[in-house]
Amino acid sequence: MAEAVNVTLRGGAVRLTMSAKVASDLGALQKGLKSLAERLGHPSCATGCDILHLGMEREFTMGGQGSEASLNPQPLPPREHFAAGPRPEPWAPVTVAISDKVSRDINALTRVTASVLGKLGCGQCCSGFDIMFRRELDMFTVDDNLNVHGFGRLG
Amino acid sequence: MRLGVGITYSAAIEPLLDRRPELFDVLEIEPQTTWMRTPGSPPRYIVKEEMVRHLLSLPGRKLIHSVGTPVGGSVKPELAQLNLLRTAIQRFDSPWASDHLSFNQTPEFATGFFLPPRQTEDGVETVVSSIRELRDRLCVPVAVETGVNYLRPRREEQRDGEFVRRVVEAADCGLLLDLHNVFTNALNGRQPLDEFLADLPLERVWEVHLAGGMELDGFWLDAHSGAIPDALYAITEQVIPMLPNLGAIIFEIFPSFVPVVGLDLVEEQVHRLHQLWALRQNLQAPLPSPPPIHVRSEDGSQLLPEAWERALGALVTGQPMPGCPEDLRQDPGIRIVSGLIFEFRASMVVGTLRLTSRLLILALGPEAFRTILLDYCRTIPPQSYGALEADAFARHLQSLNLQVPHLASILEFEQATLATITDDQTRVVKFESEPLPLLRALAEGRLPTEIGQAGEFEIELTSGGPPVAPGEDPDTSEPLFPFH
Repeated sequence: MAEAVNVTLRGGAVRLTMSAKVASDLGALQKGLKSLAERLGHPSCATGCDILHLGMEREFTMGGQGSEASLNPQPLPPREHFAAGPRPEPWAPVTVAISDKVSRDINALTRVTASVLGKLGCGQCCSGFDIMFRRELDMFTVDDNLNVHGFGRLG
Repeated sequence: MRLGVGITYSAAIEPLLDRRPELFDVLEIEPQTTWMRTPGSPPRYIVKEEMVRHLLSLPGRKLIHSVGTPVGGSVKPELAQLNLLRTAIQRFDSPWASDHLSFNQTPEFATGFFLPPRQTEDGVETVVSSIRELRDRLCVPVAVETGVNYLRPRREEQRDGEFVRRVVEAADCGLLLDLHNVFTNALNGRQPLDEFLADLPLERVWEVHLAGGMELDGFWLDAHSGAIPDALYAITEQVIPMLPNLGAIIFEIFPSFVPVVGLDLVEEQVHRLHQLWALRQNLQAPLPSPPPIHVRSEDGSQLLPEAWERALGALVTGQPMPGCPEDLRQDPGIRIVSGLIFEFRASMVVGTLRLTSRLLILALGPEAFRTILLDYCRTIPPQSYGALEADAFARHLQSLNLQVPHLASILEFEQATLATITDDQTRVVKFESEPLPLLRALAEGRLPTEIGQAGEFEIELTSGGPPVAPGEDPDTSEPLFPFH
């Protein structure tokens, strides 16, 4: 199973795992996070997932008795159910996998690596003008209320 | 060796390589653009084997064009870099290697830009020594590239063409004739192109570079920004039949411009290069002998090459330089080169620290961000590698202690990302609130509209790409956990 971005629960912390290549490529990062949000069923909220929601997934993974249980059964238990902490200790990690399609796209793109290295390496032979800085600034405009907005274009 | 027509490699042109591989007889690889250099001393370079294998798999013969060991100055290249360069030449089976008849390093700092060599007798000696050393280290024939010079012609210096001729004949090396560079020089008031070509030993031209440019503040820039100007193309049609030993014609385009002009335009330019290559069938007699070479030193104020490099390097990077010649300080080319260096450095910063840059732009506004960058560039000299520039800018930001929400964690996240890409070590970055809203918003070019839930959150950055199980059919596999 290909996984570009994982979310696990480790003790009290929620851990998101991703490849540094994905993190360094805006297009891949945007795609990965969007996919994660959709998989978790919260596409409209920018968070993509909710810690309480993840807590429920964690609880049902262990089933309270250490037995395997299907993920995300319905209906979900009340939030208070999780306030008392993990039972038993420690909670097992829950992995949330994003869409394979995104993973494959990223994996297929060796040019993500090439693109990253192109930015981290020495500049190309050119005695002119790199417009990347100007293009980045051009993404942002100021509206009548002096609020700065971006157009959401990928870099 | 006759290689044919090609293009300078960047990730931006890969879709065209996929679509029309038959168009490319040769790919010119600038190896340093695929290396990483870690901060600190002594320098440590990292070459990703996966990248080398990827480049080897691309169409065409490979030609190595170094951008880190220029021969136009008195500062010698690092041994570590020369060894890597030689390895690259061997791995890619490059029949010759080339670098620039320019300098980009003073004893104290990198200039962040290729600057013109001192065009005097001392300068010829310095450059010839550098070329010989490079050739001895690389074990292949070496060609030097004619550079861009935005300064006014200086009375005490040799003509551009005669300086190049003196150098390549004394060093007995090849010539990479960058026709857009000399076209740029001519448009900006240096030696006319026909006179420059008449000065050159054209039988030494092994390779030609062509590119497009743009006008800025009264200067024509060697910007590699798009189509070859029609006037330059017409000149090139006349020049190609005069080059009996031409081995390759390379089109150059800077990666940032590819999304602007589109790959169809790039493809069209490569087609035009094939038409130029066909003109080699009509070889013509060489040009008449060039006029006698002499050094004009009427005012006697010759700077030795090292002093020239220090003075010019300091002026264009804003470093203190007491005793700098006033005429050089007043040269209008200093201002334009300083501006270009700033744009390159700012582009390196926004290209490597993208989320941090966006957060600063969104939180403080574009002008404030630009002011921070200007202050940084005045304080810290240029860094030769993108990763080093990112590291230096990150430290500068930390020293400013800006009160921008989330800045510290986003900066730490991006620094950790770059470090993991460099050394393949897994890193964990802690957040005090849920990072997904912030990351997603910045990736989309906006500030988050909601506050992430407080708590203990971590992002673990791993070195590998997402794995694909062997034998898995990507088109038929289903998600493992079908939530909702």
